[in-house]
Amino acid sequence: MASALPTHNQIDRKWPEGGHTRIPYWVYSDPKVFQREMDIIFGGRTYNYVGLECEIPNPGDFRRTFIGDKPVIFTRDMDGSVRVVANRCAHRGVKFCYQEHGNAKEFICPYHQWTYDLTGKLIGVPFRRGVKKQGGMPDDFKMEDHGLEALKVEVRNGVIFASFVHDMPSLEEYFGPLMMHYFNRVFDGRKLTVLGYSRQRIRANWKIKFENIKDPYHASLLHVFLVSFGLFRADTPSKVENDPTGLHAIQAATRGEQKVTSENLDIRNLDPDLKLHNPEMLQPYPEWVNKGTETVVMHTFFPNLIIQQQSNTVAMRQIRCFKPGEMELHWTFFGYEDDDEAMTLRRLRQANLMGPAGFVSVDDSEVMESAQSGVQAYPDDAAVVEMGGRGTENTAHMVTESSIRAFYKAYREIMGF
Amino acid sequence: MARKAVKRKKSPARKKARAAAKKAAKKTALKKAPRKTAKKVAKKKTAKAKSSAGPASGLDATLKLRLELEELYAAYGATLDYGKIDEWPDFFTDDCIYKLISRENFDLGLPLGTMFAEKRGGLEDRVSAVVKTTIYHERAITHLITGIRVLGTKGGTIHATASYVVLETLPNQYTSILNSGRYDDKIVRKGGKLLFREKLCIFDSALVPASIIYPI
Repeated sequence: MASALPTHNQIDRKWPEGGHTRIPYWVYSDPKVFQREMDIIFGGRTYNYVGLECEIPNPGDFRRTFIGDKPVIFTRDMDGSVRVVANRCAHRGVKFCYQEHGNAKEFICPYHQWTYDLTGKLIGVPFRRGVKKQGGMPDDFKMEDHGLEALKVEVRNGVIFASFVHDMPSLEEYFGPLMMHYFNRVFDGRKLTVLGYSRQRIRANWKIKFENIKDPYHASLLHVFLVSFGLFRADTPSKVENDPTGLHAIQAATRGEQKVTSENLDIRNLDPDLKLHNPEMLQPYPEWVNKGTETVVMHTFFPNLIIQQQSNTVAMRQIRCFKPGEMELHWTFFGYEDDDEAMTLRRLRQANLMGPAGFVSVDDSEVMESAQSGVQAYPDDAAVVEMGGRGTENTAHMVTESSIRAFYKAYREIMGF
Repeated sequence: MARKAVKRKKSPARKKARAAAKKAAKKTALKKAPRKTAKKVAKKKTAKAKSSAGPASGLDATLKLRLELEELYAAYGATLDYGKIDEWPDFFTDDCIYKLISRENFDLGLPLGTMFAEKRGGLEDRVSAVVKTTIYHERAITHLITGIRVLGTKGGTIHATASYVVLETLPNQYTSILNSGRYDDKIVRKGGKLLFREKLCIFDSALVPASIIYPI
């Protein structure tokens, strides 16, 4: 799937002068670009977040999800191994799994009842030998050649990733030591508990969301809530780190005080008088203190995962996309099995910051839709990404767009632009 | 003239008809009289029943509560729809819980809410987020609330449910459905006023549009 570019997908586009300090707006709206992304990014040599192991604790448990626009199912087979198979019948391509989640011994496509075991192996074809010696599959039809497409699966500390390409490096190699360090900070081996799902459809290209979490510049300005309560702000200790490929990154900060100083005068949205009428909503417990000074780390794991750790609210945000101008964000909020009731309540309260009605996230969703409206109308114009210089280096501050530059440098190579 | 002649000619028949009509009217009058009496008796019975708190008074109380709930839900929706969001917390008790939760989470027993506000202060924080801190496109919303039912009453707490649809109109767009589902509410009476002590809005579609700005 990843190797040669399909010839029907020739894209007559030229990246503007200025390299990775410019982002041509056609990358957000051109259907051919989008199709190539589905083929060689989501369907290619990448590890995509699929789900959490705790969502399928027992043999036979399964759950539907998507990798980009491609429907897949993750399941635990009878031996207890995690499997990921395409939700696409090998016979006629039917998205055969009708349930969002459940427990099954086998998968049966409703159309012609082709039946597969939990590993994706084809185990039943009705009328295979015909009826009354009439019809039936050819004698040389081999069941073993017609299983469900099985993906390569990697599971780390309760998190399931999959790839449509099988000869992939290990997950550690793919994400690299920097990202694995931050991954292990959140997923330290403790069992996870799902607190709930949140799902929203945003009319913006998927990359606009992915970049949004590589853009600490906006976070310090747009979000009244974050900056007023010091949850993420340019004048607090903060950093941006890009993995060497440029595809993955983190932005991190330590919570600061709610006051106006000479260093944050530019932040017009900092309201020193903003008070919570019920302060219980935001009384974080210092649960990360043994793992470094950061109180917030926002991670981008290319291509489809954002891991959010803001104070005590932790969530996976999975990107799904079905057309250039639209994406879905599927949030899985979780906690740890050893959380007490007070900690769970804390996480649920702080979840008010996030999601489709989040005190912080609403700003992003609204602005991203406006961004899409702007860029899709002017495909030949380009974004200027020069905050913090023109490089892609790590910084000990957040007044930079270096992660966005690093990302587009790598993106151009992958996409052949 | 010719017509008069005709009438005159028919007059004996008309007389007969008139007589028959009078008879019928008398009969009706006779029948009507006892009916009126029966009604009066029934009314008196109702009055008696009321004073002794019989089953008929239950119906009255049910209807009264029903009307009060109709008014409560209509006022609740209108308050959100007509830009009076700062009055939204007035529909709740001080120790209230408000949660907007997907049916997906609710049915799985997962506690995560899309909005989760505790106590009057939590509601006021939601209000100030809408009024002061959040960046969003202006929009109009309309609540349609129907099928109000009382599921039970326990120790002064009314357990009520209703279906709702909230329509949303964004600038330069047609009206669309923002959210639909059911309310599952615990309502108490404080100072003669019905207030929500707990309000669950359980919405149908797990996937929601980009933003839900106003409470449902």
